[in-house]
Amino acid sequence: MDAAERKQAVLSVAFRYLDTYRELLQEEGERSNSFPKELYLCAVQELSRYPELVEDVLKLQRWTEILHCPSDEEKESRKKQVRPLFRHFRRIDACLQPREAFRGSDEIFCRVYTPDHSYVTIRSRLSCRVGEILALVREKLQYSEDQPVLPGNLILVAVTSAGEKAVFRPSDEAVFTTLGVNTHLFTCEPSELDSLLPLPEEIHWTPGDSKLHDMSAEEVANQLVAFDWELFSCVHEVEFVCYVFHGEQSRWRPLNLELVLQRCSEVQHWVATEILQCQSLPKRVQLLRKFIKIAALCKQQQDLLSFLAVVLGLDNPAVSRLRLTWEGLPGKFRKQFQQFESVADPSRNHKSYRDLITSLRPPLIPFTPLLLKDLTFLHESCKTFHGELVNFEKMVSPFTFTMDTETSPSHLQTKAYVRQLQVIDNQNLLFDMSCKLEPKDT
Amino acid sequence: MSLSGRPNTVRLVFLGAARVGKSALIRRFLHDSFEHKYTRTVEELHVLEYDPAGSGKMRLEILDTSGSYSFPAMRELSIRHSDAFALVYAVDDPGSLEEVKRLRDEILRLRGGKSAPITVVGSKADLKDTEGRVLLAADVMATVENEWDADFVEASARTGVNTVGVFRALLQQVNLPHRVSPAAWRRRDTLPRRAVKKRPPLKKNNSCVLS
Repeated sequence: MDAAERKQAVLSVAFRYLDTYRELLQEEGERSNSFPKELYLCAVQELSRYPELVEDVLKLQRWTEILHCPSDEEKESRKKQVRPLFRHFRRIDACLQPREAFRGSDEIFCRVYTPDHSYVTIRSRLSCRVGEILALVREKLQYSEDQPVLPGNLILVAVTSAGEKAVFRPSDEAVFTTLGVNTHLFTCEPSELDSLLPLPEEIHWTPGDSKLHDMSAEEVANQLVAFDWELFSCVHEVEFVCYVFHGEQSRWRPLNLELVLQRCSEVQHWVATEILQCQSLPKRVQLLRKFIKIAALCKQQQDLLSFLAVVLGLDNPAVSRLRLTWEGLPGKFRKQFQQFESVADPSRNHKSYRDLITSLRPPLIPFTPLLLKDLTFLHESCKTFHGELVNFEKMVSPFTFTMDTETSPSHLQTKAYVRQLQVIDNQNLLFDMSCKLEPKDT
Repeated sequence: MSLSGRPNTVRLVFLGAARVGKSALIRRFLHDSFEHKYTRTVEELHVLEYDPAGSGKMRLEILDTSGSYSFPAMRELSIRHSDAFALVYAVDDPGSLEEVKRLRDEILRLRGGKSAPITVVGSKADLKDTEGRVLLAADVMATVENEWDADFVEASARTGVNTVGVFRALLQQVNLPHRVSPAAWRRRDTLPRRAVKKRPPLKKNNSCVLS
């Protein structure tokens, strides 16, 4: 390979990088432009010696322009958006609209609670640092002259429904998407930390009266798969890399990837919640059948994320201990579920899951937690890597999921239901419910 | 008693157009202060714990909502989970009174015939005709009290006049003793007499005098 070819090879890697990161770089503005600019200047100097580089140099010049001034239209569409993140506003008005990818510069509304469970709602960038969040909260909290001590020393804490607390550092960034299903942000003074209590469970329907009973397994599975596709196609390839390789220092936060992971855990808890809220034994058996059917349909539609999430939800100890319920299940379903469970079996490095994946033809939605585990392993075991890291095309080909356009009321109802699942994610509570349904002795 | 579904908890919700002074009224009541700078509210929940008659602790929740951002589903939820409603308009903004009418219709629809304890609040009551007031207390009061069968009060967060009256009306509607004692309540006795004389709290029994 001669010198010109080597230079061209370098440039082609650079173009590949720019192509992949285009949106993210554009969003960063000026800062991101220094790399193509410098490269462009270097390449121009070489041009007299290597005239064959002219095409590439022109291309590079175009890139510096692209990154220099993103089109006004694009800027406009970015600016106006303030989106309630679904975690904090459970019933967002836009839940039926297709999901769009979140970017760090997007603004969201978020509730921040105080120890007495009152709250303020702040408006902030998704990528906001904790210090900035606290400044916004402080501004909202300090209203009066007669308040002797201004709350100067506030901390931001994530409190799970089970009461576990995690204190954020002021330098932490983009914390919103990292919160668990029923985890809320609290603010308090350090001395109040121990007294923080989780919010009461926010389940608004009465036990045994779930809407799920009136929906067919097909409908629910279709909506689960459709939503997963939406969520998954919001994830930029780079987010995988950021998640695994850079950890906290990464330049971009893997926001959309974190939301996919959150969804996975939400579906798991949804399954357990629905079963444990169901008081009558025959109905519970029905529900169990329905979930196994839903899992089968998700698998059939190659959505391994929801498939395994449902299976793991049924494997929750609070559900699997319900002996009477499982005994009521026809043998056919029990057998099918055992098969499903074996796919979730981690032995021999998840062999059966991997066998399943290789037997499927893309497009498919992978079980994302495992994908990330593999990437981490790859990262930690290999110093260098060759070729493509993730064969992403295999996971998400330019496949656009064709949503069925049917819009009957029941269809919309299912869609809304699936997109705002109400779940209990407090394992202790789930276990208590389980013991109430079928006491230990029976 | 509580529609919010929790025992010993009462929730009041403030609804109304943007910039009518919902947050300012609440702030005056809770902290006896007034901020001239306008900031848009998204949604805030204030909590007061008090013991009305030594009969056990009550939790009073005051939900401040957004007039500027439109979240129909959020508003629906707040209407379903509240015990009494303050519908706030500004006396210098006829459009905000229209919004109050619309909100009332929405509340009645969502409550499906169940009684809805509504207090209509004319905010910025310190404004005189020369300062932009276009809605007269007597006119609005006639509509609200006769046609809507709801309560009516005027108040000013800037001067502090009758902000306590707003909360008194709300608490009376949910049959609660209204001796809550945040800042504004304590302040009542020290209120400059001049202000009281100038704009006495609007109650039904002196409505003739005012018109």
